[in-house]
Amino acid sequence: MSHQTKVSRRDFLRLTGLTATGAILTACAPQATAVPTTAPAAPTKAAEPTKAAAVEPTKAPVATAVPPTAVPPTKVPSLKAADYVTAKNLPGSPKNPRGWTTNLPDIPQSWLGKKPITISVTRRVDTGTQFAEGDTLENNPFSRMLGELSGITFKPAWTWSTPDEANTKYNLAMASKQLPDYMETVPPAIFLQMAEAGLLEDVTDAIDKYASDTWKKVWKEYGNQVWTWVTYKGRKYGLPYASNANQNDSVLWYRKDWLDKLNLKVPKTLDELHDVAVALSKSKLGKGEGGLTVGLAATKNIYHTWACDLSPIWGAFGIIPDRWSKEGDGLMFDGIRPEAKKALALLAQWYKDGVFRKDFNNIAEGDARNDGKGSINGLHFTPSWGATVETYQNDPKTVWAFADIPTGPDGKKGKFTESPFTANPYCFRKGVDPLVVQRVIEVCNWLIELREDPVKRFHGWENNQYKFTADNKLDAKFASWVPHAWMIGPVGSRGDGRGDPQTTAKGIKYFMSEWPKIAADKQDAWQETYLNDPIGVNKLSRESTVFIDETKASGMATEFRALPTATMQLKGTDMGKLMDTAYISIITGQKPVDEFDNFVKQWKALGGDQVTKEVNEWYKANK
Amino acid sequence: MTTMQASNQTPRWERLRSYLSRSGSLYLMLIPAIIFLAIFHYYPMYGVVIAFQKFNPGLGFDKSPWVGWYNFEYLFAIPDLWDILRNTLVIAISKIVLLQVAALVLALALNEVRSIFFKRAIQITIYLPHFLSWVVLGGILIDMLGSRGLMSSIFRSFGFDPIMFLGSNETFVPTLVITNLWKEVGWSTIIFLAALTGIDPTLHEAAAIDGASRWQRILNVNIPGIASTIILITCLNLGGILNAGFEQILTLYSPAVYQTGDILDTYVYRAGLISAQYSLAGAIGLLKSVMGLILVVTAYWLADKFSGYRIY
Amino acid sequence: MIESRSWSNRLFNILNHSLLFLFAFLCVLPLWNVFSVSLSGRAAADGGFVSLFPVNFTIDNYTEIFRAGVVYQAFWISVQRTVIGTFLNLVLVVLTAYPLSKTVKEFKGRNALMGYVLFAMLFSGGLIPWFLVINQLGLINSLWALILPGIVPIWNVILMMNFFRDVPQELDEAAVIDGASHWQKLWYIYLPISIPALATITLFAAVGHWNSWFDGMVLMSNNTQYPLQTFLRTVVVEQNIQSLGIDMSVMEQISNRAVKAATIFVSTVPILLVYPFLQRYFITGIKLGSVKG
Repeated sequence: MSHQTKVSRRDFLRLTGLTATGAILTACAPQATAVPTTAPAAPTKAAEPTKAAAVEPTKAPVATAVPPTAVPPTKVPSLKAADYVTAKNLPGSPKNPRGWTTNLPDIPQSWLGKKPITISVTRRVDTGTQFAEGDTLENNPFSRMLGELSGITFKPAWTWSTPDEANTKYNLAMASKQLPDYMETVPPAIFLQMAEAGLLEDVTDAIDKYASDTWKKVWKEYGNQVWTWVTYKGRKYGLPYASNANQNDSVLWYRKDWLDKLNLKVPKTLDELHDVAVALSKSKLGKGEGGLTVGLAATKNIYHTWACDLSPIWGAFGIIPDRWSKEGDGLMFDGIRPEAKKALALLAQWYKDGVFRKDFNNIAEGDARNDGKGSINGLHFTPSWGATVETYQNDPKTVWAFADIPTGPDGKKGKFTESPFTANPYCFRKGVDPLVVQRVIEVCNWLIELREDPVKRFHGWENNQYKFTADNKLDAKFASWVPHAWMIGPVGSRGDGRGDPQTTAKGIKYFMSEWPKIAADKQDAWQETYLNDPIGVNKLSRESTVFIDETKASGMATEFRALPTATMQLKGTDMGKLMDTAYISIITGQKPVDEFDNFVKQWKALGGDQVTKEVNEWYKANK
Repeated sequence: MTTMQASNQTPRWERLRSYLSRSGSLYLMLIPAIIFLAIFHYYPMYGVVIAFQKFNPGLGFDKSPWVGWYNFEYLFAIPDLWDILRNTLVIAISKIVLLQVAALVLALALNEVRSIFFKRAIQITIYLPHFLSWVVLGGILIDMLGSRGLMSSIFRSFGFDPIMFLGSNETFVPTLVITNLWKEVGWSTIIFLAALTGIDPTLHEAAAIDGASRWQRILNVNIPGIASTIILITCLNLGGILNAGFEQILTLYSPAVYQTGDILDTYVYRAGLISAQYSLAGAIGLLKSVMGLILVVTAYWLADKFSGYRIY
Repeated sequence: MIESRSWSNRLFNILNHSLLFLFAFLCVLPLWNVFSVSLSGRAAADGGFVSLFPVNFTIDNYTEIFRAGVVYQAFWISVQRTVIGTFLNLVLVVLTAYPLSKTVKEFKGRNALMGYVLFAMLFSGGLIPWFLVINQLGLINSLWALILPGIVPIWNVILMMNFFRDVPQELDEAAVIDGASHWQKLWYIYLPISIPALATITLFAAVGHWNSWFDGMVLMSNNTQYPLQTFLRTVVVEQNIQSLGIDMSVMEQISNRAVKAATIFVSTVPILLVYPFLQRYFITGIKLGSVKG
């Protein structure tokens, strides 16, 4: 008797499963509304052929006593993302006459069936992380879309905004043994501690298995530098993060209107730069009190920084003070090279001549940039964002322009650059479900395809990253530069991570060459806004990005790309203090230039020789 | 005679019982504090072992390797340690002393104001700077004291070359102390003002009748009247003798003034940027606690010996 | 109290008032500047052109802060924590300070217990054990995490203890003769006399709660649960982008002086409104007069 019941119960469950699968497949059948036909002229990529994949096996009923309910004929399930996402969660504005379609990439095979999985993550948030009414970090257009495509839910375990906060929270999470499944931008020191304590999952094999070919191609191109920050004892413990290539490389920005007024030419050498800067500082053209004008902007971070940086000056002497460069068949610290002394002598002279603000060694980048914004500063070395829009508001006659960095006494020129693969590993905790790792990598693959193909037209979701005004134009105030604030993983989340570091440059080149070809009345709102640039700041930003890309050969990156060596950890603070104090006291004139020789001696004795030895050991092993 | 005999013969538990019925409620009152302090202060104290380990939060206190006095040896081997310690002490002591004196003077001055409206208006304005954090205030000060700031304008209008207050070793520490004073003095008057309200007004009347001037009254009535509070505050502040104001200094300093401005906490902070420094920070924390304890106990003993005040 | 109308007295008053006014003025000046900046246009604020009066007047900076909507939540959390926390602080301060203010004769073991309380103020096991305890108690992400750990403000206890000690012995003895218990003495005598001290402690506790940001950051996981100061500080004010990848939209926020200035006011004004309510408690201890005669 019981025998009978068991069999039929099993039958019943099998049938339920069958009908359910059938129902889901029917529901997922291509809807008519997904892809509209009002796409702009940009050529759509040929749709990837749907692989004739094996259908997810439906449980074959054993007992055929009960007649099977109508099962729809097994068909090849679509891999088209648009087939799975409901209209309101689709990015882009295909329905708007001035809108566009976002061509979502195909989903990977394994997402079919949408096995639900919740992955706990750490998220970075800041003022830019804003949502439409009712949305949160856990529930927003991206999370909804992802849920519909794959069944993945990313649940923030905790959030952070500043590096100090990240450090503290990671430390506490480690100590309380409550690490989330997936951790974004783990600070390198913390990464090391976690690896030593065995808290990270080895993902070497998972990466090899699941990362897309596109991604792997980029890694191959960049070689060793990709894995530096995620490797521990030869194995990989996280996904590498890449930013835009040459993102922080500077060019010379200058106030063309001022130079014209004073009949000065654009400086091409250091000496010319000096003269122009001094002339500006005396010119009273600035809007500072009493006509105060600052010649060349500088900040307390004198070696290199993200705005108003001085690295082109060091570079003109062939060095960047805090980097390790080739010397013979080994490496040497640039900060103790004789060229550094020459550069210091020059800077000391410049400081005396009034090229810089007298208190430049106290001010941060924001303050230095504010001088530019306030139409007070006439020259500065900054990456592509050097032309500030506020300057135009404070001084309508502003004309910003950029030029190549100047050459030094030996005709050399150079500036700071760094590998796009920076120290921000994305790690998984040890013991995490392997499916989690697989899914995260798959999401990254998918995002790379979405974001890094300019033809895909991904600009975010309406009313989230952009809004239309009453007359159907793009609301300028509401167009976010980085529309991917809530995405997950090293290729999309806050910080604008990349699969291919060349993406921005490639994108700009594509947009600037293709979009102007479209007739004005056929452009959609986004294209119109992109090309419409009355003040010209956007144009300058794009042109400078392209220019930087073309002149990237003058970038001087450090050859030592690893976590601090043993002696660095021990003596690094003291050596850093020694160097910072020596350099700044020479530049501001408190000590004579010959103090440099003293500094070199002390540096070596303090630990410099030992560190050099260790760095060279690393270099030989990792060439 | 009989009573004494009787009390000698009163059994201990009888005396205990009567004592408890009188003072038992005192113990009861302390129970919440004892419990909370035990949970949140005493139980976590095992963390001081961090000073003797090479701590890795992933390994925790039980598995991190033991290194004995290594962290302290490392600390004392820092090349500039004596400079750093000197800076810490100089800055901390200057701040404590000057703040105390200024707050006292200000409180006494405020106390003499008769118009309630004026008094309250002044009070609320001088409290304001306390509410700003150094992160915020630092930015304002860097502007104000920088080459584009108000101070420079004033110098220039008088024909002088502006001084970079935050940029040179000679002026950095005085700037720190004075700006800290400006920020905190208003707030610090609160205690003294509260104490001043506790002075018996009849003493003032008596002094007035005796023909004492305002000055004399302040010197002879007010100050002695709050002497215990003054000593108390000084002693409590001494516990923080190695805290020279990390947030303020971090915001305002730069390599140009490391020589006089680098303190223990800022040094450890920079070290922590290179590699995690939980152990070193722990060692310094322990050092600070021990020093604080010594000072507090000494202050107590001194106050007791020389003025009979028992602060604790 | 009769004021002598002498010359020296008037001079004293004039000097006193002027110096106080000058100092108050110095205190207000920078804040007035910050206020003007908060109401100024961004370009002018960044350029440093705002001194005493707003340039290109706008309230956009304030709307910017409130746009997120999360600010209201953070504000509410701060209010809750301040009100409940201060009240509990007060209760614990009184309950702890009163017994400790008694002499050893009256309260055996007083010195040991004083030592127990004092030592806890001087020694700390550090951040991690403290966090682990709070974690084990399951308080993480709950409002009580912001209230319970600091519920015994030792510094204030010592302060209060000294104030209690200064209560005249005669009052105490009179009450004992009348058969009052400690609870009754505390409630009917010590507390009413110590009102200025209590007001002081309340003020310190309230401001302490309002201004504290670190515990909020460490004990609350998501920025949606942060109290106001934590939220403003981490999300708005302190943006250090050096290791976090450049992001144009974020970067413009960082150098935005005007928004920063607005956040200062948003975070400070509420607590400033508390003080006027407490002011009337800072009165002279009139009750003292009741002892004589």
